[in-house]
Amino acid sequence: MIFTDLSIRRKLIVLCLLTSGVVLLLASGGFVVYDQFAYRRQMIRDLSITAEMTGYNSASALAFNDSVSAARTLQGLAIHPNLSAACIFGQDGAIFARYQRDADPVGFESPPGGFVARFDDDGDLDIFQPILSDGEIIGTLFLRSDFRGLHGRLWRFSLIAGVVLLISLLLAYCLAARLQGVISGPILELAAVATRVATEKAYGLRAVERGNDEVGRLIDGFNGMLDQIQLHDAELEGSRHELEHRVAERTKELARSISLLNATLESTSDGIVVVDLANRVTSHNSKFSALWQFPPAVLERGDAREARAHTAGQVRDSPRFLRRVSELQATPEIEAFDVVELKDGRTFERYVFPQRMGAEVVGVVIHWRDVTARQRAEETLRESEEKFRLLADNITDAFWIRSADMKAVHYISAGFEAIWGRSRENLFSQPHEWVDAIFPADRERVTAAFATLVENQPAISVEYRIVRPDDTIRWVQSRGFQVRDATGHVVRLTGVVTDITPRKEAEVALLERETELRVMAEAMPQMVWKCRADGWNVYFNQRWVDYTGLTQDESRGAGWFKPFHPEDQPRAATAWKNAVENNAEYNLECRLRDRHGGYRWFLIRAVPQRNDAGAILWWFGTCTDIDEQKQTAEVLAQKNALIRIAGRVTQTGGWAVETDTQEIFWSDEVCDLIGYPHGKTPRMADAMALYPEPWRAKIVEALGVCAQDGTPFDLEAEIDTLSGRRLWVRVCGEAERRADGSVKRLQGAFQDISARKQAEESLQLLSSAVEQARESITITDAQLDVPGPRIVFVNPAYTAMTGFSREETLGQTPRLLQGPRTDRAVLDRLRQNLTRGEEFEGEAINYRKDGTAFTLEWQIAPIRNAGGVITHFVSLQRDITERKQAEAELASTHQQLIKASRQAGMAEVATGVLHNIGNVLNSVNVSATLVMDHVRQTKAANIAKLSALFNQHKATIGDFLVKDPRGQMIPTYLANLAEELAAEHQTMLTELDHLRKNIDHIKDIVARQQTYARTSGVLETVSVPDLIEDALRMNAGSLAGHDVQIMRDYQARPVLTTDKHKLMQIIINFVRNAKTACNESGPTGKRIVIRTTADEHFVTIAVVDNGVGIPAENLVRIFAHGFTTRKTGHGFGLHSAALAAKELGGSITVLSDGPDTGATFILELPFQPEGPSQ
Amino acid sequence: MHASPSILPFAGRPRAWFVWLALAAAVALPTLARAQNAKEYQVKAAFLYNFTKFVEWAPERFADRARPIVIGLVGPNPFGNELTKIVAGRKANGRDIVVKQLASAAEAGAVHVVFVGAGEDAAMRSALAALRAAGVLTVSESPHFKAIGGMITFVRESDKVRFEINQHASEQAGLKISAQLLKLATVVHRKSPASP
Repeated sequence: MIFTDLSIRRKLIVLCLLTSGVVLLLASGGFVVYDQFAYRRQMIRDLSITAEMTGYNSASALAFNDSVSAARTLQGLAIHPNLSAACIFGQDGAIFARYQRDADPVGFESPPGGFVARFDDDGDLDIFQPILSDGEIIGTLFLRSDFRGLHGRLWRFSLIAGVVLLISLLLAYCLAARLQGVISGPILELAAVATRVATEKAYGLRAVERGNDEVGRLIDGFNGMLDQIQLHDAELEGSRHELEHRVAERTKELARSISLLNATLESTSDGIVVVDLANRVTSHNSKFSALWQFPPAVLERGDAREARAHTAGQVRDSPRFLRRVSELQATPEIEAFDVVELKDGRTFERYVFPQRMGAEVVGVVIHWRDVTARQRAEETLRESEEKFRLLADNITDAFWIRSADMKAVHYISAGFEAIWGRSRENLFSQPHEWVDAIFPADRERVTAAFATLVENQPAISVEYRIVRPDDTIRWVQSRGFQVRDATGHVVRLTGVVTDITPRKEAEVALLERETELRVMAEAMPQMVWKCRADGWNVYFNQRWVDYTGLTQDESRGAGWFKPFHPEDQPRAATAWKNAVENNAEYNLECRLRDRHGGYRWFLIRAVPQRNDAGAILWWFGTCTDIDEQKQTAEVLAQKNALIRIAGRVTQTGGWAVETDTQEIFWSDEVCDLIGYPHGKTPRMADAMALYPEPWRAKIVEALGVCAQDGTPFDLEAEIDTLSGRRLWVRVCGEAERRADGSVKRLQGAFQDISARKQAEESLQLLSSAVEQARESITITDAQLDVPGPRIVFVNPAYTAMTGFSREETLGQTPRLLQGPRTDRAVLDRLRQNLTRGEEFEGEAINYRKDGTAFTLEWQIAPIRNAGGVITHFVSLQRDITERKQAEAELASTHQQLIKASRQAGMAEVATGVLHNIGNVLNSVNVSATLVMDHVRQTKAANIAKLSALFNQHKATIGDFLVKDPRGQMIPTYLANLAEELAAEHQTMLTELDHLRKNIDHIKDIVARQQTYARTSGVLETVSVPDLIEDALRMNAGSLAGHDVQIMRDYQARPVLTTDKHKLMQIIINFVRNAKTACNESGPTGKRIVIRTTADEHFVTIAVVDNGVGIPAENLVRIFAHGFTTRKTGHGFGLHSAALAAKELGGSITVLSDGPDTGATFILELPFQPEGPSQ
Repeated sequence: MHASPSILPFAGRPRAWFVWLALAAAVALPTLARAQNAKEYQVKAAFLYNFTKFVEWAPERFADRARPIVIGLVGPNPFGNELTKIVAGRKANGRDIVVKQLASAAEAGAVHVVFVGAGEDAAMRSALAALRAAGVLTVSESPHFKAIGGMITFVRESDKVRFEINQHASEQAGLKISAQLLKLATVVHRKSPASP
């Protein structure tokens, strides 16, 4: 960045200018913006005032519609230069007067109706000012001020701001240029000093300090830093001097070390020479020059080649020596050793070491050692070896040495001949002969072993048999070793052969013994095993392997623990631990798993074998299969437990008495019954005291007899237990005799039979109840197949009812009582029910012993045993002949009642008919009265008066009619009279016709009644709708009288063959009932709907009314005889209708949702459609 | 001011019957003339109302602030309903305005503005002085009106209705006429105009 590289002076000036420039720009910008804002407000205010004034001035002109005056007023606005247009709108929004500054036409928008001031997009200000007169808006003034003022002002202000900015920046530059020196001066000075210090290293220079501001502190810091540098410079100078001093000291020390080294070199007996890589002898000791007899000049010159040539002349094999030297020279980093023989007989050993300086090899150090003396000593050693050989030849073992490839025999001791029976000489000549002597079976093994020795095995040992020339066989043990030289090469093979025949024979004998033992062990039926003292198994016989399925290897060690049953394992471990710790025998019964996963019980026993000190060496053990024994014991225990349970269940226990000692034994069950503690023996007297008299005497006597001559006894007695309860017990006993026949012991059973006794008692009770019962009871077995169940029990009531005695009945079947009139259907049902195991109830005619028939009603119930199987049937029988008769009587009474009710129904019909007739008679009466009144008031009588008048004037009739004023009126009067009489006549004729019609109606009603009053029971074919119509007609008067509307809804018009009379009766009943229900509900809207429907099986006639309805509780008894809700009702109507419907094979249903909801009566009749209904 | 809505036209009281006759006579005037006049009198009625806004009466002319300004009409009413319609619901200087038909000039002393019909000025001549003394603004359409001491006179100027003001007379009556109104007058007489 350019700015970064500017000098501080310039940076300061630029910063000042930038800061003041920005501040000024912001300030003047803000000022301009504020001014514009304020000016706009000022414009609005000014223009508003102008508008208000102008509006006020033009109000009157507007009021008096004087547009000229208004225009004049607007013209006054010309003094405002910015006002470009103005106008006045009238109340109707039309322009009333206008003004415009410029020639261009101005468009005026219509006034918005209120004060509005707004700037448009050009900066023009528009103002709408309403013109008021007495609070009433009579018009609107519009003013427009253009933007020229606004823009001019903006331009002027911007110009001023620009000039001010320019001048200010110029001033700021001058000030900054002068004042920046205050900050930049010291810094520049400091920079100059720093440069001088850096270039001239004049650390003594210091910057001039000024003030205490940040720059002042910087100069302080800089000066302080220079102080530090000056100090350190001085210290450095001191250190240098010290270092020089130390170097001198070190040099001295080094010289000392070198002299020491030289002394050391000289003190050693080896000749040492050091040759560097440039073939220069750098160092040597005097011993070296002495060994090789160097002339001093050679070593002084230090040329290694020259020295080498000198030495080479002395060695025996000079070329080889030189070759070796060059080899060593080529590989200075390798340590080397060799021997050099000199011509003068001396022998030197040479050791070569690399000379290292750090990790780098800079030369070689060569030691020369004169070993001539030592070689002499080795010579002596060889002599002693000879002595050894002598020794070897004299021992019985054969000692041999062969070449590394076994092919040559270097040496064989005399022992060979003793063992092999062959000469050594042959062996030397035929080194392979020894192999031929090996027993053929062993030969391969032995040669293989020796082959390994030849190859790489450092030592071998092999036992084998040899065949001597005399065909005797000997066992030998041959051991062989490799002999290596100093370089590690196998140079020889050597070995010893020992005759081990006696030892081998002993071993074979031992093996035979062991095999015998093993066979014995295997032959044993038990599993046999052997363990170490710590339980580590070493042997199991085959039996173990066969049983457990574990191999010897798997069982070895701790493996034998695996087959132990998991439950027995802790016990086995404890027993083992016990045996080991206490030095005792191991004895354990436990389960072992066989190879199939099953378990058997085994007795495991083990005994330890000890050494002389008594410590355990081995454990020998067996596992004996005791599973069967074990199971037998378990079965016995189970049987005992069962006996015990059986005793508890049957409340039976055992007892015994020793005849000699009178000692009593009670089993636990007896003790429990009596409340005596288990296992204790009561005294005889105490035991007997438990029996209350007379039982005690009987028991004592029975025991005595049994003890005397062995007579067994079995008796029941009462006994008091120790808890005070009295029990019934059964005691039986018998004698056990000794061999001589005398009674040794009495023993027997003791049983609590209280429950049985109680059961017997209640059975007794039940039995007597059955015997005493008034009703006949029989019990049969459950044999339902032919010949049927046999009677096993009858009570006396049976005999009384049937006349058959018990003896005659038992074993018979119940057919004994059946006869020709017995209903077979009932018997079939009986059989079916019993076969299904259900109860039966029925009645049928049966016969007594004397042959009289009676109606038997009986019930049979199966008796099941505890397993739910039916074993017997019990039957309860009753003679209901009398009841049957009573029922028949009741039925006939009922029939009579029905008849009576039907007659009552007829009376109903008659009442209806009479009512109808009464209604018609009313009309008849009215007609008759009318006719009578007419006749009574007839003007016919006036004719008589007229006649009398004529008679009076008979003589002068002509004059009278012509002259007399009354006579003159007569013709007119006569004409009127004739008219009146004719009218009268007409009226009477009409009334009489009514009369006739009414009387016909009466006849009709009577005839109809006669039709239905005929005896019923005759089946006729009737059309149901016609029948309904007849019924309605018969009730027509009463229905009309009560203003009930009848609606017919004949959805079907079936034709039925039925008892017309009864059907009629039902329908009339329905209609009457509906009418009455309607009457009771209210005076208006009474309605009855009659509906007929039919399907394939039924004809339905429904009568629906909207009357009082029927409460739910009455629905069920509305058809009951005598039930009525009406004061005048007799309860026959619906009852007889229901009976009639039943007789017709139909039914009546009534439906009602409750009071005031109306009711529907439905008659349903069976129907066989004969064809398509009309 | 309307007739009783009775079915029998002549069964009302004598005065009502008289009014009915007057109305009937008014209706019977020639229709054409009436149409021309109607427009003119509509303007004049509006002017009459507007005068009340630009004229200030002496405070003692009103008993209290709620009293209305009463415009009285002398002679036949040339406005028909127009004047009544215009002033209805309007206010001038916070007062309601009421129009009243005066039977005679004598009654005019009690009102605030008197409009003297065209033919009545002669009859009014004697009364004008009294009205001035009473502080009543007198308006007429008679060209002689100003000469006899009337204050505002309607004139026709190129088919437009304008008015003259006799400021001398109004000042005598103690009425202050707004400069706004004076500005609009065709002529303002500062001194009593000479009698023609």
